[in-house]
Amino acid sequence: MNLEAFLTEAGTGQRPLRAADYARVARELSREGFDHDLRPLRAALLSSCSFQFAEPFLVVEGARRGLQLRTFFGPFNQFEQQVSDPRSALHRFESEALVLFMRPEDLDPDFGFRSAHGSHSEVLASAVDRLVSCVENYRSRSAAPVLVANFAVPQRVPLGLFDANVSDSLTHALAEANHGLRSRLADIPGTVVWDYAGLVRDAGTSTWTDPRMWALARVPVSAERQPTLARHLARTLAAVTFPPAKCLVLDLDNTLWGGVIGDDGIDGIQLGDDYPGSVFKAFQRAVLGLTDRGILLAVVSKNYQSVVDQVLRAHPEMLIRPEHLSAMRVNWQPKSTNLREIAAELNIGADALVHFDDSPVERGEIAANAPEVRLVDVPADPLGYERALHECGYFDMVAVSQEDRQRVQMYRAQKTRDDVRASSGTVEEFLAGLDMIAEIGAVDSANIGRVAQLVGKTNQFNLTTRRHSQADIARMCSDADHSTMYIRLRDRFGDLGLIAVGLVSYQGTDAVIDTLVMSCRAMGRQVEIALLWEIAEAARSRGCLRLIGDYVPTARNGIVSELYPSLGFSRIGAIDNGGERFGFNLADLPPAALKWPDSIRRETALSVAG
Amino acid sequence: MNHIPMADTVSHRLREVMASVFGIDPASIAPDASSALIAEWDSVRHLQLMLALEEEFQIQFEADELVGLRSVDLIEARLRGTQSE
Repeated sequence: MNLEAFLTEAGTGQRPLRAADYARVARELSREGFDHDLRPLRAALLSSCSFQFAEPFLVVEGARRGLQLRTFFGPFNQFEQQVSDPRSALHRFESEALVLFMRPEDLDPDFGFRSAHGSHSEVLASAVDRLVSCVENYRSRSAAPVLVANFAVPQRVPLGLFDANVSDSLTHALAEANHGLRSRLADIPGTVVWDYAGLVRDAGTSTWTDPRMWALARVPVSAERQPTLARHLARTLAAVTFPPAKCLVLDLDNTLWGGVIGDDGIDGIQLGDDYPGSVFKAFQRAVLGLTDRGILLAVVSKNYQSVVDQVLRAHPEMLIRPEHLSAMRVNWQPKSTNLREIAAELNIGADALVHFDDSPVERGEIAANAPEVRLVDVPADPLGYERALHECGYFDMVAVSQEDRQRVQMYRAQKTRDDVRASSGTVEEFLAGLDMIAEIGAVDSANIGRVAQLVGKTNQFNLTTRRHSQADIARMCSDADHSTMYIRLRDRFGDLGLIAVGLVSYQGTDAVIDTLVMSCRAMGRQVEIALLWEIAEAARSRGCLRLIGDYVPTARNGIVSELYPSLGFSRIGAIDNGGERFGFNLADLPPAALKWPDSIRRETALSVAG
Repeated sequence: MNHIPMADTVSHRLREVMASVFGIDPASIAPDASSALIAEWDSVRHLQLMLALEEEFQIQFEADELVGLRSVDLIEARLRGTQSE
């Protein structure tokens, strides 16, 4: 589609897109039945911080690159959990491209601040290992291309101005880690490095982040830089989706030299080391640079063959000579016809041709009559030619080749044998490696503020969304017919804080879970299983006969709809607000799934509600 | 030429931005609208809204404002505070 035309109609074509425009245009592009010729692409992103904010920007910039992006953003900071579980939301999404975005500063809060010997390398090595492992695991289940972000230098480096001068500083550890990442990913077919480090460096590290957005929502990129990020990622996604072009076909007049050879003669055209000829000479250099990558060159020009031959052979400043050209069509036919003939002559599809022409009229003719040929959006000023060629993206040579596709199939067959063992080990190993310690205790005056905040603000991992006030909770704490429990979680990297709360009401011989909430950042670690086990044990020791849990559906808590059934609770009946009640008899053997997780060590606080 | 009171322009522009971010009809945004009353106004979209307003009105919110301005009347009051004079 012509996104620019669409944007003009949508009323934004006259000025650069603002954030609100991106939101509106993205919605329009994603609408069912929206007419376009974009290539649909289901792209999944797993990230160690919040990436969702980028969605509208990605959709619009994806359209600019010919893609209709449908995105899936994985739950916060979940990699192994999503990749290893064949029933995870990631696998159900059936992505056609996977992006992994893991930042070392998200894995270790000291990264960028502290500089104990070797500490950066350790965090980075762990990140690289985890990423490679995830890619291998994913590759055993899917042939979709994987983009792995490399590591950008953070705004703050521990040794400041002379960080680059010290041999094992963060700057050097990062460079080494990026080399290592690239090298290990090269062994896995259909996998590429997404050069996030290059993106941030080019945009400017100092303006990349907005401290407010990080502090409030763990969004690592400022609002102003979202379009830049989206453009870069969209371009990388397009590169792994569309086949690369094979041949650049060039116009001559006012493209490879200034002026028109038919009018100005060989001595009158501008080409040389002085301005304006120098601009065209530099452009010829950029064109020849493409041949180093294996791109073929051809020429299509409305001129006389003999005149053109003379310039190509004899003009002393020409860098592009006849021996560089695989085909030529110099005549007065429509260029669209010539282009198709060149494709036939070279035995490639016309869609493998890219045409660079300064004339909008000619480009219009080709778009109308040979639309499969890719056209560079050439600016009016020749000073912009090199950049237009560089940015068009058609030569981003990372599309999966036929050979690569075969390698992927062989790789998958090999992996399937070890599949079950490998995949069931990975998540457990990962969780065990976190060295988690859960402190269980009763809610009291020291933590009631935080508890009330969790109960009041949690939307997703919230079974009943009952917004008890702090006063309500305080009453439950001192009431013999209620138990109030919290979990505070620590792991290898630090304290996650108080992240889960359970409020239980005792009604006769039933223990009813009134409220069960957990912070997003603790998801995927089985903490909720630990809390439920604790609740069940407390109920049992009180002499309760049944443990009951309710689920009240809202727009935001779909992820916990199956929590109780998955842990072996049976459905008892329906309740108000479209909810469901689940339970099991404490006198029976507890459900097999409900046991204290192996990967978490248990600590009790001074008092536990009973 | 009619004099357009500043308050109406702020109100109108605010609703246009909200319509873009939330995908709702600007005319449906009541004066007492807030994040509690509009389903689409969740925490991700709230941040999108605040940053879109920064761009539209060429202002910068403090971090506390980014968190706290969750109703149309609070936002309008804040915006009018910067648009007057």
